[in-house]
Amino acid sequence: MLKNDRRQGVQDLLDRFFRMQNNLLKETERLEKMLWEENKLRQQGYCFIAGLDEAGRGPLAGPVMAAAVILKPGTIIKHLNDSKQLTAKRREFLFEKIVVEAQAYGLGSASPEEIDRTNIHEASLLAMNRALEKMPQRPDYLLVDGFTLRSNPCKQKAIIHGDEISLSIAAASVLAKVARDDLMLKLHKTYPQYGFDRNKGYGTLEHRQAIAKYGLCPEHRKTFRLKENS
Amino acid sequence: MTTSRQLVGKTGEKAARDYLEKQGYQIVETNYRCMLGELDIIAREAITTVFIEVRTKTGLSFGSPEESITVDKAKRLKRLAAKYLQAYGLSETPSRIDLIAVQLDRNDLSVLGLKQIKGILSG
Repeated sequence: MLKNDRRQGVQDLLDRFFRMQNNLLKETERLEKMLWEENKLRQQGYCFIAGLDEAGRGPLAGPVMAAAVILKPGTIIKHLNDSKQLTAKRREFLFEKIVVEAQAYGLGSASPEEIDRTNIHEASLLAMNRALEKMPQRPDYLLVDGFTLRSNPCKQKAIIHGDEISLSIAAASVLAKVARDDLMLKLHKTYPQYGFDRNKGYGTLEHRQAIAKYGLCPEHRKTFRLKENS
Repeated sequence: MTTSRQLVGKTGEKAARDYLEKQGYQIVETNYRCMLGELDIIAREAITTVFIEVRTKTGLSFGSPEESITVDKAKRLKRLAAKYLQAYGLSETPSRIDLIAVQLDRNDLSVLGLKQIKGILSG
């Protein structure tokens, strides 16, 4: 039995091995817990359960982006969690994994003009509905982070902090965040003064100082308050 | 019904095909399947049979596409290529295995970049 081997190197190896096994087990358990809602719905007969989340509610500039994701049953994507708990590098890695492993996904957005014309909540709803339209598979149930899509006739459930509870919503949160970050990186090339590559449109001190100095650009949400103060 | 995997993969393969045709390659076959596995694209450049493995990635930074081919994958590609050449009596003609790495935009899956690496498996 290797356990009886007195050599330090062997014991260290065994420690590492058992720790790795344990972590893998814990991670699998965590992921399975996050599939609880989806599994329950599958038992009730639903086949295409879409998780929905958005990114970019808070920033002063840029669109609000939403994602819809239908995961295959029993999907295991290691380290998948709500986007706020992940590093940027991990998010990017997971984007790739989700996009390839998912049954289907869709990305939708609402522009700063649309946000100004209505409000950020309506714009988020619009972005989510657009994400659903872009998804090549019609869902039969929606799991939405935080609120319901009133205008959408599909059966649905709003889950507060859904991106921490449901794996499908967590996947959607990653897609939305990474896609929006990419978009802000691109916008940075057009409007380099505001530091969009770093702040992604959020109201950091640097951003507000740039607004005081250069004024607003077409990507700014004119109806967001506190923009004129710096 | 297209799944996400198919969408991303198909977009990458189409980009690779368009690129090869622009470069003057003749596309002989795509998605050649046999017991051993699958070859993404088989093309001809003059008299050389070129077997192309397509790797599609999303995002703004390229990374190293060479790293995405494992030893097993490399072995399988070599075997598949040899089998194809034998099946068509081309074992004595020049052939080559290339890698084409395609980079897609995360928002609209448009092609951001494409790189062709010729002769990735020597010997």
